[in-house]
Amino acid sequence: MERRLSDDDRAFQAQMREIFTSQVPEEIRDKVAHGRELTKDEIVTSHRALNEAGVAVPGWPVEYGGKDWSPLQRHIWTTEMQAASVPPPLQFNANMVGPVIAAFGSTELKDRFLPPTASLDIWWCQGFSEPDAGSDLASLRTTALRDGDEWVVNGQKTWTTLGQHADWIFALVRTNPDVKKQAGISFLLIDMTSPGVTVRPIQLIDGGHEVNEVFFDDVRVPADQLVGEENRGWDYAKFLLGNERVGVAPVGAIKRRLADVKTWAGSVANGSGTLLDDPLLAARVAELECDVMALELTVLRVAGGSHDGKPDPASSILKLRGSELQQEVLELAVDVAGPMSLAWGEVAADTDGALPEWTAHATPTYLNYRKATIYGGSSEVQRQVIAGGILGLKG
Amino acid sequence: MDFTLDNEQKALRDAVRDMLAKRTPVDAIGAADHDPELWQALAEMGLLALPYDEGAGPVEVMLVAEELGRARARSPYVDSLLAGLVLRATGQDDLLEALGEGTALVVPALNEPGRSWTAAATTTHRADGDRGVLTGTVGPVAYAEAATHAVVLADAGCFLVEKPPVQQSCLVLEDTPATLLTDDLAVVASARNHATVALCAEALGAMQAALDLTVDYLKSRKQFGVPLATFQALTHRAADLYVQLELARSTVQFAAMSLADDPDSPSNSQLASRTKVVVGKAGRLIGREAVQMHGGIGMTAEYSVGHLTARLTAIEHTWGDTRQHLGGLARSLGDHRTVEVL
Repeated sequence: MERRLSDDDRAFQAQMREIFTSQVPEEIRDKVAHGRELTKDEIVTSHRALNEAGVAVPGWPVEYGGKDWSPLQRHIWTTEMQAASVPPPLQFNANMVGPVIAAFGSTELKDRFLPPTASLDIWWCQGFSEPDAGSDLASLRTTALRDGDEWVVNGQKTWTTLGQHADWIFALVRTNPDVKKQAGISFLLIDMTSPGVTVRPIQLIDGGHEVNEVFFDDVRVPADQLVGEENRGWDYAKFLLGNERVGVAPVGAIKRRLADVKTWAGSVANGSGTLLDDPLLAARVAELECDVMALELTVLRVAGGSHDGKPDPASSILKLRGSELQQEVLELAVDVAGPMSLAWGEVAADTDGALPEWTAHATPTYLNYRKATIYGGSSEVQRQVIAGGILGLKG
Repeated sequence: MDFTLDNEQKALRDAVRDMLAKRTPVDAIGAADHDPELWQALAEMGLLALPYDEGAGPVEVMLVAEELGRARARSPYVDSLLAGLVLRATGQDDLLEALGEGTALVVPALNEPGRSWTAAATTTHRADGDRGVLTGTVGPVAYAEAATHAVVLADAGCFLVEKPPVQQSCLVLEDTPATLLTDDLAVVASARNHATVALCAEALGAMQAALDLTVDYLKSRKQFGVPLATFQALTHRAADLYVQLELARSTVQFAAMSLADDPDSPSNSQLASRTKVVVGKAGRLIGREAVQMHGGIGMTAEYSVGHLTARLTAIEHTWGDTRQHLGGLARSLGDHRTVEVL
């Protein structure tokens, strides 16, 4: 057991800090720090800056731009990035489709797709969930039927995050309806400009347009855009959802926001002092600092454990607690904003307005992040994984 | 940063676990009586002297305390640690040696009836010749009846009292001879930080044992013709217990490594408080849920789970409970922007 970072890891930390603060434009980091929404161009600019600095896709094979970092270094990378308010590399590219193509795709697919995926010359979106396939993802019904050298795709995907910006979609499609539902799914890459693809926006409770429905109507897809083997898509999807042990709990972002909330609480008059002098509020902040510390230490402990690259059921702890704590901190921000939280929406978010800018973001951000305990395997799914996979509690 | 144990540490943990597995726990109702046989066994393994050895330290102490908690082995291990650290810091080498050999049992007496952990001591010191005497009531003090000495907090500092008079687990001092160990309360605070982390490690073991029992029970107990593990209303709660336990484990291990790295760091008091808060919350949840999920059998004195809950409850109220530690942390929010662990 050793509490300190090694000299190498300390130097690595300094190097990451230097890259994040010098390579990513300050105006973009400033927007993230203030909780403002980024434009597509800003996300692309930031991602490309990271890629040019060689730190956009560290989890990939080295020959395609990956880094041979230790899990601890991956954690330092994530945490420093979040601490510097750098938007993470586009997750659909960096954490989702990239690793799947790298692990299971043919050499042709890798050479064709990995370079533009790393450089964000292709913006990917995820076509997994369907109206009747949420937590029970394997019951998906979008079909792909073989016709000569093409697949013909019909069906509907939903909750497609930032699909409005996407050039391509990686989709789970049913290629064999006659077997156990998990055994008839394939992983298909589809050009969003193909005839028959329609994207329709879904407005969310914060008023924002973040997710979409995507419809496929006789969409013809070249057969060589199927990743790996036909009907093995479920395995690839599990790999995709499970391969991120590190970074699944946004510890750096949670800590930064909790520090902000503390500053904000110190700026709101309450009685003869500020909200930070209020014992109930101060106790909530202090308790969250304890909880977040326990989470970060668990991230570090899980990262340091050896699991031979297999998904670690302990990552369920990190998703479960990471999302809960993220929500608790954002909830605290609304409570600190108090009456000022009542005015929100695009009109109120004005950097020079009568209200402090953070108060205008407090409620919509809180509402937006109710998603965190739902996406990527809801909290209930995570508890099921822990109960069954770790504790062996199976009915 | 590295959370893995080296081979020597694993061997120590396994040896303690094996020794304790051969013993039948004495599941006392209420405060435990001292078990001289167990104490002697700990002394013979060198575990009582271990905290003061070169080459060992807070990580090794954590491993021992965790095994004691897991095995429901009730002993003054962490109490003796607090007292021993004060003795070491104040140059009481002979008594420290006897403590390490198990021939002396020294316990800390830091709290007074009717006063919380943060209230200053009211026991008064008066000069009487060259030794001085103490007057006041201190306690309850765990293992007071069996103790050969007590390290007592009084108005003028920290004192050593030999064979203190005991009533209802409290030291009832009336012009009782006492030797001043130090008037620097930071010495006691530092010892308490170290002992608190060891106490939290004991809680880890107890929480693990309670969770293991509960999980086994959910698998084996049948109602309505099916195992309880069929019911998500139970299994999802068991998952939450596991999560809280693992979060607490990371925290205690980090705290022990931090104490090993810098035993006298000024940040150790916040570290101990945060650890006590995380463990206190986890212990309360696991303690009550373990009994609840066992149903009626969990209420009985002959079954072990309730004794683990009782011990976890006692641990929470030793050397500052969750509320008190949280209160201290809440008053010092302004001295840092974030809590940094790397």
